[in-house]
Amino acid sequence: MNPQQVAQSRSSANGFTRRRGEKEMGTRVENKSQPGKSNFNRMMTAGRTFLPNCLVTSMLIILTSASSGLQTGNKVGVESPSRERLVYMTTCLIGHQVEVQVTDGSVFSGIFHATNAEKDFGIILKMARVTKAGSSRGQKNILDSVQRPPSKTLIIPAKDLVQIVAKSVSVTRDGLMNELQHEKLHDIMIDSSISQSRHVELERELEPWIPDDDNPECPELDNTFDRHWNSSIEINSPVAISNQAIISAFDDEIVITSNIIKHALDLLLTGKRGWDQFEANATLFGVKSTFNEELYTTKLDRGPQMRELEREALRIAREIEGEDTQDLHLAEERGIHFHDKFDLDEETKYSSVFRGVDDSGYDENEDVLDSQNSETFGDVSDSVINKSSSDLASGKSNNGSQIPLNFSTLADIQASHLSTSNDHHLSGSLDGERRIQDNQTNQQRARSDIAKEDTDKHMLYEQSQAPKSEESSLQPNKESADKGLSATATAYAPSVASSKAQEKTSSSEVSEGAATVKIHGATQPAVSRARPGSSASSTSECGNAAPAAASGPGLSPSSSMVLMIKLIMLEFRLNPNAKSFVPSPAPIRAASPVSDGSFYYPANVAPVPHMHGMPVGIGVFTNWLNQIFVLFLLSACEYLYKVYRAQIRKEGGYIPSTVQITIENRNMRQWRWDRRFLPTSLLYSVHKEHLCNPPRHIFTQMVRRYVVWTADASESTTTGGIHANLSSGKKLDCTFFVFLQSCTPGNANI
Amino acid sequence: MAMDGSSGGDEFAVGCLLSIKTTLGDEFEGQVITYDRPSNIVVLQEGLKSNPQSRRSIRFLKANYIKEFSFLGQSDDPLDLKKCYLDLNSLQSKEEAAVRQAEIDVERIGVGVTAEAQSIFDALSKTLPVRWDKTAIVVMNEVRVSSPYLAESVTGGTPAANERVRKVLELERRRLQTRGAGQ
Repeated sequence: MNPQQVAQSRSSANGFTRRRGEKEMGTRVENKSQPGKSNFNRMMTAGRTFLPNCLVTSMLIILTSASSGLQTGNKVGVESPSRERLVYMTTCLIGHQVEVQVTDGSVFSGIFHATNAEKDFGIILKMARVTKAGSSRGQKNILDSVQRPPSKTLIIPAKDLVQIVAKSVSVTRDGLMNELQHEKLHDIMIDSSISQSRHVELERELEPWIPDDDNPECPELDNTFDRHWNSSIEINSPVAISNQAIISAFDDEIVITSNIIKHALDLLLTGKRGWDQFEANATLFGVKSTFNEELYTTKLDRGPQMRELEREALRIAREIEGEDTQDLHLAEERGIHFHDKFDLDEETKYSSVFRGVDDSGYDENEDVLDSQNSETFGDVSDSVINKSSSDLASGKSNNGSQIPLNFSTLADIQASHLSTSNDHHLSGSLDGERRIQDNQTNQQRARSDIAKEDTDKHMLYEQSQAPKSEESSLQPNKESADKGLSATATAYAPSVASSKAQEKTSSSEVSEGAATVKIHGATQPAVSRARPGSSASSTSECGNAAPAAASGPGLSPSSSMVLMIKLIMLEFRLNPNAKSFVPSPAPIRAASPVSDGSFYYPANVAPVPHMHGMPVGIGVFTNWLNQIFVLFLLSACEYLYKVYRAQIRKEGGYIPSTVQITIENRNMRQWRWDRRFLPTSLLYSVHKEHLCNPPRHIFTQMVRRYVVWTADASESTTTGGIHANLSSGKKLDCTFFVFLQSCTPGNANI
Repeated sequence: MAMDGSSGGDEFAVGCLLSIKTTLGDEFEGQVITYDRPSNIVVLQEGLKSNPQSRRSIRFLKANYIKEFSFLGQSDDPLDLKKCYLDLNSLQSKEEAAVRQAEIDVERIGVGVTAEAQSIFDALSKTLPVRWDKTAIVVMNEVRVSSPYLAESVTGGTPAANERVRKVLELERRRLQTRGAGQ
């Protein structure tokens, strides 16, 4: 081979050159379909003329002949088809590991790279190595040969060539494809080979995925509920659908059989007209469905109350679905597209951290609290009604538990035996108590479906105090179903009483934390709307969130207005002969009237900066006295609040949502307590009612084993003070008397 | 199958089954795929049966090195012309991949080292990153194993690494011995 050709052959090592050559040649080859000898020669000549690269020529010829397909019957000349075949075969060898034997007997092993197809078929190997030396044979030589590194490119002239042996060559298209895939797999798998390669791999062209057209197996999600519904009820959502399905069925007085359910499910799931998978299955395979809905879900009681219950369920469903949400994710799930105006990119939607504390959220808080208050007050009367029917099964009311949060400071500190106002310590103890209460909760959980934490709080008190407070009836009575937490009020007292065990201010932060979490959850449902009939849990959650929100750092300016009530505690008298109440396990510290300082804290002392201004301190106070006092305060506070609010409503003005009550004893020691209220219509109505009657309080029963306390607070027309009597049964056990010094709006003293 | 009309080419008709002995001592049988007169190369498919496998063993033989051959029979064209297809892209990539792999393999083979050393190197490379440094095996770029590749010749690296390499080395030697003894 002349050196020029060799060089050119070498240059063909660059695959691109080869390809380029082909393309150029492609246009010039005339007769592709008839590879006659003359044509062949002409082509060869043409190749030679236009392209120095003989290999390219050969490649091209192979291409053309391959694309056209070698003519089987056309054996005009011996050489042309044979030559083509030869060239084809050699092309198949490219990239293969081959063994080439040369005239002296040496065998070279390497990767077949190129051949001089035009002339005499000299070949070029890459990474060739001598596997068998021709001169001498034996192990030694092999070893020697191995030691020498393979040569990058080895040219074997045709005259030296004896034979080429290649194993496992794929000759046909199928084989080629298989090999291709095989190679591709290998390429993908061997990462290191890719990384080490000097050649940059071309990137694949990415195409967006387009889903297949509708087929019965995977109906479009959009169409799923677009079905024509037999009962022609408008379909809003799956929940509604299922409700409606049931209701419509009942309305039609159709006994729901499994067939109908199946059909409904089919329509539901497939969204296709008339496609019944069960039917299809039966016809195709003779399989009869044994589907019975009642195996998988609660059996429906089809009694006379069914309709009512359905309607109720429907209503609740509508409520839930109609809820508003500000949360991006929830909105997306529900298909609500707010913020359409804003350009929300994917990051905002899915991955960025939500940092906003938007005002809207706060409003919801207010609503939340509002509702909760309504529950509280609304249930006041209810509780009385339900007194007899209430069973102490249920566990809690968040309202009750919420309120005590605020009271907790006083009571808690009073009752606690801790002599330090170490938040830490108390928090720790709280945690412990909570844990205990958790256990208890599980045991004592009644049919309440209120959030666990409320129960916990409630139970916490029970646990530590061992009184069985609660008996708030949380049964979803039909009458009070809408009120949800009828027990709220009933649970009030015990919870209040439980304030002792309840977190103190610091620990209220703990609960705050927990409740704060709930705020977000609580703000989701449109509580204001849902209040009347919303599930108890949501309300309770709201309620739970309320105090935390109230006292939380998120106080917006709008809530800084508080109604500051200043009371002067004039008298606290305990009936020493009262035997109706059994003291709690905690020892009674002061059996004597504790009018003096024993349960007061300096209002201004705030070792821990609490925004809610709850005084922190030590005190001695018995459990039950705690209960009483808090009860009283609650009643007084609420009463005052209502009065004030009524006044404001008449006159116009801003109704503060927080009440800050400062009670001063004769020794001018004060303690302060904040309670956050939210005005609600229910509250108002209750209030009206209470204008006539002294407000009855809130807990009808405290504890099974204990006395039933009722707290009355009324305004004494003569002195202007508020007199509260706490009585159990008929005996008057203790009396508070406070004098209302002032009741004015102001800014919260933090 | 039509015989080739040209002179001297009869015996190398496509599809012929031949048994060939080369001047260099190779003997094999195969089926003729093609014979190209100008270059005097006959392309054979090894094996007498013309099974339409996709992968075959192909032999290109210069006809002038055929010492003797015998005609065994005549069969169909082993090449299914309809299925002949070449994808240059895939060929190129195949070659590149092969070259890549060969390069990798080259690095694994020491130059001027004994086969024993090479086998030790291979054994070590199964679990440890090794490379050649002249005639020394460098493990994890820390530990060197130089000739004669005994446990004592392990140097360098942290004691833990050293120990590990020694252990592997000994195990490999033992295995080699048993294998060698078995053979």
